[in-house]
Amino acid sequence: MKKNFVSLFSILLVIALSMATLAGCGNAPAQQSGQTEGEETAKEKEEDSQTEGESGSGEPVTLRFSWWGADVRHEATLAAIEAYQKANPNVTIEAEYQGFEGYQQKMMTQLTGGTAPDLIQIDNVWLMDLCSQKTVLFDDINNYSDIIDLSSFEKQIIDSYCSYDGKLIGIPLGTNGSGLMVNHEFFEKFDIPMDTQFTWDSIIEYGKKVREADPESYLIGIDPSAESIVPLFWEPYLLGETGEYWISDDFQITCTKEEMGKAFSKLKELYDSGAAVPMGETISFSAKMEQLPKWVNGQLGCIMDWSGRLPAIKSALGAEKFATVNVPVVADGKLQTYPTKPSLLVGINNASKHKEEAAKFIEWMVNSEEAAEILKDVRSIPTSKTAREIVDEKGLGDPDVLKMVTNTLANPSSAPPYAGRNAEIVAIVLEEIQKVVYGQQTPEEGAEQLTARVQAKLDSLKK
Amino acid sequence: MLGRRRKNSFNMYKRKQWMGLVYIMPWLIGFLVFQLSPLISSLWYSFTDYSALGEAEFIGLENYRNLFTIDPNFRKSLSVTLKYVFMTVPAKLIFALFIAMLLSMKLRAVNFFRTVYYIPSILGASVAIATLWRFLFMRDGLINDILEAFGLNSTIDWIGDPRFALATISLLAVWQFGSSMVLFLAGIKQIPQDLYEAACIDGASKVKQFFIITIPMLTPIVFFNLIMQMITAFQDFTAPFLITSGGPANETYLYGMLLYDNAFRFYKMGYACALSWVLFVIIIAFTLLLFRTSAKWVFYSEED
Repeated sequence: MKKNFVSLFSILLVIALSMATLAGCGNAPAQQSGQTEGEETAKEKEEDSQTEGESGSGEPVTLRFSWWGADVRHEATLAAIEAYQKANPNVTIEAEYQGFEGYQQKMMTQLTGGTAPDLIQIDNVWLMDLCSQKTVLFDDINNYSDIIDLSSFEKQIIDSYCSYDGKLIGIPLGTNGSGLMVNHEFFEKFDIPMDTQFTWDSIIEYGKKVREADPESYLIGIDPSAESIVPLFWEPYLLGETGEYWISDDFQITCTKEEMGKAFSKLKELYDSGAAVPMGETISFSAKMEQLPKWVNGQLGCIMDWSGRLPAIKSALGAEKFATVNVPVVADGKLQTYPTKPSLLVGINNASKHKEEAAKFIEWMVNSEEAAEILKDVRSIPTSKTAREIVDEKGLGDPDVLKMVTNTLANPSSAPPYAGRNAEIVAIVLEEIQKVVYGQQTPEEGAEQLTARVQAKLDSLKK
Repeated sequence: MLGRRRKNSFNMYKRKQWMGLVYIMPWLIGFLVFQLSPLISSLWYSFTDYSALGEAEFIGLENYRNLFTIDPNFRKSLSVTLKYVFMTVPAKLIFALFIAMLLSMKLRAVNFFRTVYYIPSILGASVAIATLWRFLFMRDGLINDILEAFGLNSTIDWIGDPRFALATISLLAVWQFGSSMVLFLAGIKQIPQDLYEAACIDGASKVKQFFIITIPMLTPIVFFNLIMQMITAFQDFTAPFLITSGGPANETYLYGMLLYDNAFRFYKMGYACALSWVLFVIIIAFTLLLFRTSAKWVFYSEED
């Protein structure tokens, strides 16, 4: 009995103790790192500026740089790193690269654990989620404006796509445009003009024509992933219809339920009329529409997607059949613009010990001729005007990507509010879209549900 | 007298006990650092607004309240998960038992077949398997082609149709019946042959033998498999994550996906911790329920 009591007591003691330490663990490191980071960086900056004054560069420095992408991007970036190291023998850059799948999760774990690289490639849609944290994760690049020449970027892009709360979080590496990736043989076969500006209504009409002529073919494939259907259909449709984004910067839904219902109905009509490949058929090809058998077999007229996906979609079809046209717009809408975004930003980890060196590397990547020649358009068409000129002049990029981005930038949509890019809100939109398209709820019910759920989320974000 | 003897043995016992602790230290440290501490810290985080990127702030039962009263995806994914568990676990066990029976016969190259049937379990739900599943079950896929060969003109999107998606995903889990099968095989081998001989003499058919000898003798293994498979099924994540990412219309949004999305996509680690504790309680409840019923149907031959 006594023994039992003793052992029970000791177990309880152990649990109590470990609880105390664990509870401590939860708070202490984050707090500490938050504070000491600030101090450290201040100190380092002093030191850095001192050494800078003396010799410029000399101390051996190791930077880590992480990005996601496909093989082409990896090879080019590795070559660029090698070139940079040759020119700056004191700098070693360790590359950490992978595909997109799981990148954001890994980055988040690294940031939490304090093992994140110095230079981190991020997507502009993550900005709000990353910057509304209690810890400062990325340094304000405005602090390094003496190193990085920001004049080669459009101020509007820097302000509305790359900054949060007045802090410049990342330097954009490439600009994404949007469009329809067209199989022009298919368009000729079904006698669909290529030189018009499609509206969603005309897409539905032409789509019906295609179905009448050949019940196995579809006019348009819409990538059903959250990264495509929300920013390429949902947002632009409401923007076109009402002239403003459906969510405002002060965390309010600006459009009415009727307007949302209209957007839902139009999307449902696209699917129900047979203009678009059924969602059920595309859903397992989310974010890999190029693998859709109908596209490869030539039974699909076009795919709507970001220009970043163009090379894969093009090579699945064969370059000789490939062409691009602009994304459809809302007929008689208030705005007829095309979605664009700087696809990839590179930010400086606030916990980095070599922020100045990191900034120097960014400057070289976006503004030097050497880097532009190596990196070409592997992160879409460069956003930096300096790099863009070089790529244009020497014809380094894919002409179709170039065309799509140029056409988009001729008439670009303004930057969407960050609140609308919150991952959970995007997930809610996608869910309600699916329920409407699958007929589990009417467009009106969808609008009702969406308004309630998104506004609740917006309220919690505002706090 | 008695008291002194007891005291002595207690001292000796105590000394030995401490040595034992030293011997299991490597495991103990691992357990404390990698299992107990995450367990306890997740309990703590479940009462905070931890985002995984900033500090955690204590918010009491807020997460649990949101979960039970607001979040529509909690209810949805719980019902999907229950359906999934009730579909996959029995199907997997029946299938595993069936194949184990076949493989326990004296066939030629039986070891080869045992290996072959175990392979799916090794492959797991990898990216390659996800691709395979996609191409099997898509509209122009192999399954529909086979149905067509039998004269059934099927244009079903097995993965993309909300009515069939969960069943298609469940099939992947059922297909990975290898580990249950191996346990059944071992169990079948343990059944004394004389029982079958006696039954034979009494004139029982093979089918009858199966139901009155094999099944009762296997109940401890059935019970073990049931518990283990149920626990893994409740926590399943990879298959829907890789093949459907929870869609269509959240019909394959298993609890594991909900947890993952909240923790790693929505930056709501505290909420995800609360979700995981609710799942833990559910699993414990089901496990206890099964243990309760086990006295009625599980037969241990050692007892008599």
